Amino acid sequence: MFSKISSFGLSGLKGFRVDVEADTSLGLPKYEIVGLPDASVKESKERVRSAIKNSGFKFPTNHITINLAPASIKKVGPNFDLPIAISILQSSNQITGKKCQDFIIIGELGLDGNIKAVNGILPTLISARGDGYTKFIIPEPNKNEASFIEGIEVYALSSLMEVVGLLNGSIEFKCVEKSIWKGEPSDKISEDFARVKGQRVAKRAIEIAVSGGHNILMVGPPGAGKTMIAKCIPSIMPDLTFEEALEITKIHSIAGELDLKKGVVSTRPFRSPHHTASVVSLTGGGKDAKPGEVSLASNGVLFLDELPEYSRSNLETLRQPLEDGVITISRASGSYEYPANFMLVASMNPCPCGYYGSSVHECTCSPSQIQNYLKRLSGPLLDRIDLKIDVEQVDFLELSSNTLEESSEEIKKRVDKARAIQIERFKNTGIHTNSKMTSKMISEFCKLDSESEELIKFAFEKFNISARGYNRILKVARTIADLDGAENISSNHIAEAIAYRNIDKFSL
Amino acid sequence: MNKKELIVLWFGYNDLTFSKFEQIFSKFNDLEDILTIKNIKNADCDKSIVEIIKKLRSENLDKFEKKVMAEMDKYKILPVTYFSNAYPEKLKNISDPPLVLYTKGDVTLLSKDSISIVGTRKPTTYGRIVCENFTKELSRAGLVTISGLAYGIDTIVAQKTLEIDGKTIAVLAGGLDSIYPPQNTGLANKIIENGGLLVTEYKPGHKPLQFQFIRRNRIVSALGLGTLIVEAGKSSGTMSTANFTLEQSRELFVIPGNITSPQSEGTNALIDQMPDIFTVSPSRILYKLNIKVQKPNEEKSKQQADLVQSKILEILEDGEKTFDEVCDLLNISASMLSTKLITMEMFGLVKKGDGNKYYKL
Repeated sequence: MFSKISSFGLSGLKGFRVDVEADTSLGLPKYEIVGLPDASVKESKERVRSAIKNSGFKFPTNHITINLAPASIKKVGPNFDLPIAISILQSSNQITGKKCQDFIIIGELGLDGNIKAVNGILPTLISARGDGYTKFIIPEPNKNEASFIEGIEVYALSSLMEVVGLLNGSIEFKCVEKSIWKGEPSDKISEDFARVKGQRVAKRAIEIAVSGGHNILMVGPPGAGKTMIAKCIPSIMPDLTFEEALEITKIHSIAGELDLKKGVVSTRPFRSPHHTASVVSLTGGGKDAKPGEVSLASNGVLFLDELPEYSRSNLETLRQPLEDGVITISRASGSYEYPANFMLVASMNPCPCGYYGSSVHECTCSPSQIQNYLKRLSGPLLDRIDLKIDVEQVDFLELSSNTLEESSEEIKKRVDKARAIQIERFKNTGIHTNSKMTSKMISEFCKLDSESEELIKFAFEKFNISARGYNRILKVARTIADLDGAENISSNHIAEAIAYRNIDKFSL
Repeated sequence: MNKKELIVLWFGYNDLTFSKFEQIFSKFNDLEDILTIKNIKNADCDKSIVEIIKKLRSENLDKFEKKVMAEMDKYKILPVTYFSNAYPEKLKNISDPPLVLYTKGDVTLLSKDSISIVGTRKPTTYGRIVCENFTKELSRAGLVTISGLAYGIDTIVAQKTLEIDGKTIAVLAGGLDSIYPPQNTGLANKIIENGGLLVTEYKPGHKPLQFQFIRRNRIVSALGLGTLIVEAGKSSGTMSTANFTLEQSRELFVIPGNITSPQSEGTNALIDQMPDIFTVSPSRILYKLNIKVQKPNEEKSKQQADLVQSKILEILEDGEKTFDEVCDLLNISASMLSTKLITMEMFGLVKKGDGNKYYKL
C-alpha cells in the first residue's frame, strides 16, 4: 500500500517541501530509500526500523520502498526519520485516518522511539509558513524555538508513540503556546567599560564604531588592553529588534549553535575565531554548506585578535562580506547565500615584537620586518576599516587610580540614541547603520557646509587621503553628528572623523 | 666621451680599486699612453697592474663603449668619471674616491653646497620632528640635502626636501637599475622629477650587498660640506658616516637626544667625546658652513589658536603629553579634544607621535 507524508528540508536559509512516500508491496523482504538521500538520511533506515519495533509497532516484512521527492535535490540530516517512520506505519495500516496529510512532520528518531532535537527548525518553519503550511509536528526539545513564530499550530512531541496517538486521534495534545519576545540586556557576561582605565581615544572610537556599525582596528603593544576593550563591546551594543533576533536565530539554528532552552538568540553575537581558523570555518561551507563565523556574527561583532596572524586567504575572503553584507557559498551541490552583516573589530601589534613606537619597551624588529608585518594586511582590506586607532599602554598611576570611569550603561544610552536616529533615517532602505550607506545615500545624508568642505579639502592635501578614505570620513562624521544629535555635519564632526584615521602606522 | 674617460669607465666596470688606479696614473701621465706604449713590462708596475693593462689592451674599446652606453641609455643613467667636468672636486680629496659615479638626474648638484643628513632607520617621534625641522630650514637656506634613501631619517630628509621644492641627492649602495629598499622606488622617481639626483659608484645590475652600505656612507659624507646626525643607535651604520666625516675633515653636527633613548645612544656618545659638535639649531650649521641665509620665506600658515587650543599649547609647553593626560588636565570630553588636536595637527601647531602622544611644534 502507498502513503505520503509531508516534511521540509533546508537549503541554506531557504526551506523546501519534501514528500516522503512509502510503498509496501508483496515480495522478498527488502527496505530501500531513494530520492537523493545523503549518508545521514540513509542511516535513518536502521533508526526507523528499531524505533518502530521498540515503540510496540510492527515493522512490515514486505518489500518497502521509501522515496523522498523531489528527487533532484539532495536531502541532508536526520530530519526525515520521523516522517519516514510515519509513512511506513501508515502504509502498513498501523495509522488510520487521513489526519497525517494535515501536518508537516520533522524529527530525528532514537532507537527507543524517542524524538530528538534537529537543527534549523526556525528557518524551516518560517519558510513553510511562507509557503502556506500551518500545522507542524516537531521534536519536543525544539518547542521554544518554534514558539516565537506567529500564525502556525505546532505540536512538539517527544516519542513516536505520541505522534501515532495524535494522528490516530487516540491522545489529545495541546499545541505549543506562543512566547512573547523580549530583548535581553546583553551585558550579563561581558566586561564593563567602567573597569577600563584611561584609553579615552579608544573608548570614544569604539562608541562611534558601535553606534554606526563601523569597522574598527586597534593598534598597540601587547598588554595595552586591546582585547579587554573589545570584550567590553557587547555591553554597549544596542538592543536587538525582533526582526534582527529572528535573523540571528535562523543562522544559529542551522549551525546547531542555538540554546534550545531559550529557543531564540536574544543578545547580539560576539564571535572571536582564533587565527588558526580555516577559511571554511570563517566563511561557511563544508559538505552541507553550513554558515561560518562571518554569518554567525551577523548583526553583531566579529572580533579578530592579532589580525596579521590570520592567513592571507582568510583575510581576503572577508572582503566580499565586508562590502556586501552577505556571503555566497558555491558548492557542487548548489549555491547558498547567508547574511554576513557583521561589524569587524580587529586588533594588532604594530610590529612582530609588539613594541614599535612604544615608550616603555624598545622594539627589536628591523624596518623590513615591520614592513613585512604590516604588509600582511592588504590595502583593500584596510580600506574597508573605517576607524584605525592607537591603543597605548596605560601607566601604573592611572591603572591604580580610583577615578570613576564612565560605565557601559551610560555609553549604551548614547549609542541607543544614535542608532534610533539611524533606524529612522534608513527606514525602508534595507540598511540599519551609517556604515552601510551607498555613495548615493552619502551625498544625500552627508551634506557639508562650506567650512567643513574647506577643512576636508585641507586635510586631503595634508594627509594624502584616498577617494575611498573621503567617503569613509563622511560616514564616520555622520555617526559622530548622530551621537551629537545634530541634523547636519559640522566641521567639528569632520575633524573628529579625520582624527581616527591613524595614517602614520601604515606608511613607515 | 674622450679616450681618457673611457679608460676610466672601463676600469670602473672591471672593479679596479682606487689605489691601483693611482699607481697607474702616477706611472702614465697621459692615461692614453697605456694603450700605445710598447714595452709595458718595463714600466715598473705590479704584476696585477700589468695584467689589467694587458686585458685593457686586448679589449675593443669602441665596442665596449657602445655596449656600455646602450646599457646606460636603457636606464637613463649618466656615468661621471674621475676626469669628467661634472666630477666634484670635493670627492677627489678623500682617500678612496670612486672612479666612476653613475648618476640619474641633475649632475650639477654634485658640486653645489650641500649638507648630508643621516640617522637611524627607526627614528622616534622626537627624531622625526627634529629631522623635519632641520631638513626644511637647511633646504630653505639653499643647501642641497644628501641622504642614503634608506628607511627612517633618510626617507624623511628626501620627503621633506621635496615638500618645500628643495633639491636632494640620494646616494645608493647598489646599481641604479633597481632601488633599494624597493618601497622607496616611488620616492626615488619623485626625487628625479623634482630636479634631484640619484648617485652610486656601482654599475647597473650590481646588487646592494651589506658591506657596500658602509662604503656608500663615505660618499654621503664626502659630498656634503658637513654631516648632520639626527639620531643614531650605539653601533649603527650612521656611526660609520660620523667616522668618515671626521676622516674627511668635514664638519660634523650632532643633535643631542634623550639620554634614556636607545636611538640617541650613539649621538650622545659622540657629543660626549667631542662637545664641539653639539648642535641645537640649523642656524649654527649655516653659520659654521659660512652659508649666507637668503631671507627664508615664512610658510607658517599658523592659524589663530582659540581658547582651548591655546590651553592645550600651554600644557604641551613643558614636554609631550598623552591624550589622556591632556584630557584630564583640561577636563573636556574625548570627542572635543580629538577635534581640537586634529585641527591643530592640520595647521601645524602640534604633532601626534607614537602611543597617542602629542608634541608642540
